[in-house]
Amino acid sequence: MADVMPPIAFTPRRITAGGLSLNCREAGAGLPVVILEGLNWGQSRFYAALARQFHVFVLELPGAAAAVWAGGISEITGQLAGGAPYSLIGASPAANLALRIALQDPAEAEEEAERLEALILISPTAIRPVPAPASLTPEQWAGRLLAYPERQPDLAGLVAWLDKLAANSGSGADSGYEPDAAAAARCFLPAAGAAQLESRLGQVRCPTLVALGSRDKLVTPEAAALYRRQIPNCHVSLVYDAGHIIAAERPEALSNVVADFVENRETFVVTRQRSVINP
Amino acid sequence: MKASYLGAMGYAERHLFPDVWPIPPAYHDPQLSVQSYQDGLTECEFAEAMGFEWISFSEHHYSGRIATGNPAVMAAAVAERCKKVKLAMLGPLLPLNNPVRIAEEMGMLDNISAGRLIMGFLRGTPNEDQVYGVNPAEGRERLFEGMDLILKALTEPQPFSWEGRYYQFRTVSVWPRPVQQPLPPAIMATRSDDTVKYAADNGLGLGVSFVPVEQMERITDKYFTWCRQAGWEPQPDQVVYRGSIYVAETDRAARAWLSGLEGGAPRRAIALEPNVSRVVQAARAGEEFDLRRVLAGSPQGDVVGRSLGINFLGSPDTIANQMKAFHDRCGVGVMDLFFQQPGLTHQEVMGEIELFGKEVLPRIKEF
Repeated sequence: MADVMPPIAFTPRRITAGGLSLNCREAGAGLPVVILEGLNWGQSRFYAALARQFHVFVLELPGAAAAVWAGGISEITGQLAGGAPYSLIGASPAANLALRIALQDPAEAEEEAERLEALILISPTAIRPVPAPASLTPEQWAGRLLAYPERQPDLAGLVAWLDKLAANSGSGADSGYEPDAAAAARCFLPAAGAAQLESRLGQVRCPTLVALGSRDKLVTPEAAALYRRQIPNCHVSLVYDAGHIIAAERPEALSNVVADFVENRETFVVTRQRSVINP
Repeated sequence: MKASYLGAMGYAERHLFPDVWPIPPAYHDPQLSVQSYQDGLTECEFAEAMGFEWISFSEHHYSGRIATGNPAVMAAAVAERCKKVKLAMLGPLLPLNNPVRIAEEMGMLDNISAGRLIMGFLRGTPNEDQVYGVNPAEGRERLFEGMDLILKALTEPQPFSWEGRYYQFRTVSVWPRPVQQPLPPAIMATRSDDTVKYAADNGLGLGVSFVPVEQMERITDKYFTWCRQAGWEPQPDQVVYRGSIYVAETDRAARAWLSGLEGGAPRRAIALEPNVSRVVQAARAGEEFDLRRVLAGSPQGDVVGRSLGINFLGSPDTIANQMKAFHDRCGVGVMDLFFQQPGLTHQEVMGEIELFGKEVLPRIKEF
């Protein structure tokens, strides 16, 4: 679907803190929203919709986002927001990192924890992911990530990104080119310690929104209930007819619920839309 | 093969209705209406006593011919009178209704009936699109999204919000849960290729109404093929045919009844203004097309613009043979039967239920 709204220009910048130096793109004004970007395909309409309402910072993470140290990232996110309270969004692999940021020991990262106003996890695979098949080509992975791959005009772009991910994830000591499925799985599925992460969900202190596509093939059906039950102030939103990469398939629906949650947090459950047809 | 009695609750003087839809409420007499519902409930009780294994309910609005605008209300009333039969909701019209509300009704019915519910999902006949102001062009998509939401609402153990194309709910937490776990049996009532395939792909039973056996065979051939491709095989109870019936002691008596009707055939059940009908059908199909040329099983959608007459007419032997054809050729396991033909009194309908129960039912149970 073509975006009929005026395009949003994101300004690139470089940010360094906590021993890390990362690229960032910035646009919009208003409440600060930091997006951890692990997958930079199919996200533009979602980012643009948010940037029309909020001050958005898209933090580009290295290929294996799950491997980035949560402590260093949280210093960067806090700096981006200028010390103000902010909302943190992570999708798929970056969602797992966002969750780990929210679970930092308050005694060690009290200031960062206090600034986190809302946590939004889009298609998190931190707990109860569907086991990945033994071997998949990048094309097969692309099909696994989307409910309707045939509707994507730039599916080749996703395949290329997955191919590049596989090429760049060589261990160095071996041949350097990992099997496609193993590389993609490490990206989209949680790092070691997933069981420990699940056991700590009750320690998340900020309002949390978990958004899952109703046709997500990477997340088990029971995951939604687990997040809702174990995270104290958590709401689960099912985005109908979307796969794992919700932003690529239903960007308007995703931005609508995410924006509402950023603005209103747990009170997003109250309908504010007017339904009067004629006065 | 099982028999199902369609609890139509027809208004006693429906034969006096004008040949239009909607029926003006001016035709409604309160005392007659009260008696009509009581008669309908009595017919359901009698059908259960005669061996019918399902009582079914459909949603039709603004008419006393099938006076169940809210089938859940009717099913709840019957649940207290009939304690053995399955209660088949064939069924709520998803494009018209709040899917979360439907899910709640299904949960309640399954609890009230102690686990006797059979769920049904329907798009509805074209006239129903006018009832609650739904755009006919959106009906199919609302049906698919409604089904997904209902199934999720009845199975998700924690509250959730739903961001759909046609439905947005920020809090869904349906109570009570169905007694039958994980879900009561579900039937997709349709003739269109895409919805038949949806049923096959999603493990749903199939319900088809009022078509000749040849057309039924074409539809079920596709259904069974798609089910095999999806990796499963339907059970007999998952293939339901709804038909109109008139059974008499002899074939001659049945034909005499038919020829005695004005015009020699049952009157049209739903008669829309012609231009309205054309607009609705065009909107449903997303194109201009002629209602009369739409065939059952086509991708253009459900078409019930004209009564298709009596599907089963004759003596008990004749009817049993007619039903055997549906069983042998189409795999039909449940016959859902509409007995309340226009002009028949309550006593006449009771007589037919008895005749069918004694002479036909024992035979079809052997199929």
